[in-house]
Amino acid sequence: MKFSYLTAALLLALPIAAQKRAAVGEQVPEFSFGQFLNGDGRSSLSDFYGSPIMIDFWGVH
Amino acid sequence: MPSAIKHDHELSSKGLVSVLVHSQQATPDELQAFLLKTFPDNDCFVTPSAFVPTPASTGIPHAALIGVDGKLLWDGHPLGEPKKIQELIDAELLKVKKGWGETSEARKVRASLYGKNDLGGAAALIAALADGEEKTTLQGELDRRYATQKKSITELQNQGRWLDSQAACKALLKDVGTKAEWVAEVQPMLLAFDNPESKAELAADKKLEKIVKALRDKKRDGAPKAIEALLKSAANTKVGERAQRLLTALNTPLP
Repeated sequence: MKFSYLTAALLLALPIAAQKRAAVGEQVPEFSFGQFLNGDGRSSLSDFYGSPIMIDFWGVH
Repeated sequence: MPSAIKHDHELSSKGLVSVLVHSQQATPDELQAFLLKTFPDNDCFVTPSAFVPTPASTGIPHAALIGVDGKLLWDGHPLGEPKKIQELIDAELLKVKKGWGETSEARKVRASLYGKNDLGGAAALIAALADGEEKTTLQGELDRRYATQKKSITELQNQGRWLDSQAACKALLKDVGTKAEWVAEVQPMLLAFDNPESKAELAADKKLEKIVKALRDKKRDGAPKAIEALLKSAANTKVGERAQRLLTALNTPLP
């Protein structure tokens, strides 16, 4: 059973791991920020085209 | 995170977009509660989680700066290289203001579109360009900008932010200028704010804005009772739903 859960978790993680990440100087591949708590309908990178974006990764815990 | 909020306060009016991506497990209510209690004046976009295809980080805090054209400009610790970050942001904000591109025509169109948000002006400039790849690209940018701003009017209403929605609608009507097909779409949206349901939403939102302002000023004590009173008169409204979310966040213990 443990193996099944592990396999499922790995399979779910594969598409994310396989997604290309941009290096500095490269075009960032299109992605979505998902649902903002306080958004205005813009959610994907292309929705913000024309504005510089500072993304801050943070945690509460 | 405080540095991101500071940047946002200083530079959002010039075109910088600041996004806070939460990197650990917390529910939206917990996040909202944390922000209300710790950074009540936050105006950055906040998302509970997102896969951002920039270099993988081994820890937080971590930040990335994406340029006006979608290229990654910088990635690292948000406090690690403040001078370099500021210079990069300043250069991008100058592009917003002056436009960018290989030709003077492209720069002029983008300055109008992104620097002044003058969609009608940008449309006229694009119409005068010779057919070709550049014209197609710029037309695509203009159409996307218009569609995004039009969509935000409805989205803000769905989120119970009717005053913001009305302001966005007024701004868009001004920004599209005399382009008839866009005026024909936006004018009815603005007129719809005068119907009884919209007026009820706007009235409720005015009350809620006072409560939100008190929270931003760190006057929290009276907020729950004020929201409960608002909920009695704003039942079945989008603003009421937003007020309820706010009340839930206020009553949520910090994670």
